[in-house]
Amino acid sequence: MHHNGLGLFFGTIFILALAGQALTGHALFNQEQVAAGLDPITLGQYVLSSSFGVDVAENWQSEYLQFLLYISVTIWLVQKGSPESKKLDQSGPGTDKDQLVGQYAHLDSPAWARVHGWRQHLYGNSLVLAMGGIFFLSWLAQSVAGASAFNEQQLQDLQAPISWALYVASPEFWNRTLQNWQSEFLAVGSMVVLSIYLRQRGSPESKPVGSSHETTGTTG
Amino acid sequence: MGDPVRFRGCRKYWTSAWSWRLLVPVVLLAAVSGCAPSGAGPASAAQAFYAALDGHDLAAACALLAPATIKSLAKDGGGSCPTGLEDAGLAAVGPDGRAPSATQVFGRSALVSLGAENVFLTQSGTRWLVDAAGCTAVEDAPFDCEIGGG
Repeated sequence: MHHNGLGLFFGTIFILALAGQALTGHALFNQEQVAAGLDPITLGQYVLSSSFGVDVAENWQSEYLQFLLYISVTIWLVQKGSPESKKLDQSGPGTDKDQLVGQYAHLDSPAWARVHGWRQHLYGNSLVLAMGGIFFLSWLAQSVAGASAFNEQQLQDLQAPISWALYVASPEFWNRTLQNWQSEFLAVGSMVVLSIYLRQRGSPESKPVGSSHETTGTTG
Repeated sequence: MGDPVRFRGCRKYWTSAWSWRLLVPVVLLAAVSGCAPSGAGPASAAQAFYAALDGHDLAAACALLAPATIKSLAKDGGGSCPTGLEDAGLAAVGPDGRAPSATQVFGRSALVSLGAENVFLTQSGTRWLVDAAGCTAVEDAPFDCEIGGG
């Protein structure tokens, strides 16, 4: 338990928050159904609805985009004074010796780090590939569920539905997308800059309290 | 605006053999929330509504309407939905127009075309109710409907 506290904590609050989103969304949806004189729907029907789907997926895609960008951009870009950055002279993918791959691998290194060729290359980029894959699938899910939810609203407004292709070029799709992206970019940018000057004692996301503002790539 | 296009091929999401467990919820989310339900229910409800109009059974036709539409017609008909429906002068589609030529369903809303007539429906429980009928398309604007739609 102690060794997996972070994973368990975030896994638990994720489940609780998702359940809360489903329960409150269901209650809101049924308020509108009853106001229109229509029968309420079950929680299961709501969770499978396009409106719940698009609300979940649009947040997922932006979170995974945030980590995709952060993991990949910090390979090359540095920020003086930030614990989120590598040291100023270390930009780039690093040498095999730095990365403990091939002949420099340790006995307890992952198997694909010890071999050469495509497996080492694939494993060496597996985190970005995973985050990128989940981002694109979440964004695709947002577009499919969003088109369905948009068209449901179109029909309620006595307007013709549109195709998926028209939906992904629509202001509705991009407004949903960009309102999530801007908040993620602001949060990451704030973390990079504020961590230059501010500290949180004991957190690996912060520099040690007594570190100078110029110290880069050190965590406490 | 071009002709509306229905989503097709949703079933493939269910049968795709993703080995990566992390991706399953994402793909399932797209599958279950993006697939259009069957159009049989709304098409049957629209046909039943026009069949009641054809048979001059206005009470039966009113029973197939959504609550907001009943309220609107009753207001126009001095408190009676059948009277309001009669006053609206909604034309019966006739024998040639009874077969739905197109049905589009998104979530709990549907659009059914019966010949030149278009009918908007909404789902309540297991029933499909007519929101608006006698509707004709208007470019870049909501459909123009004989009944319903506020």
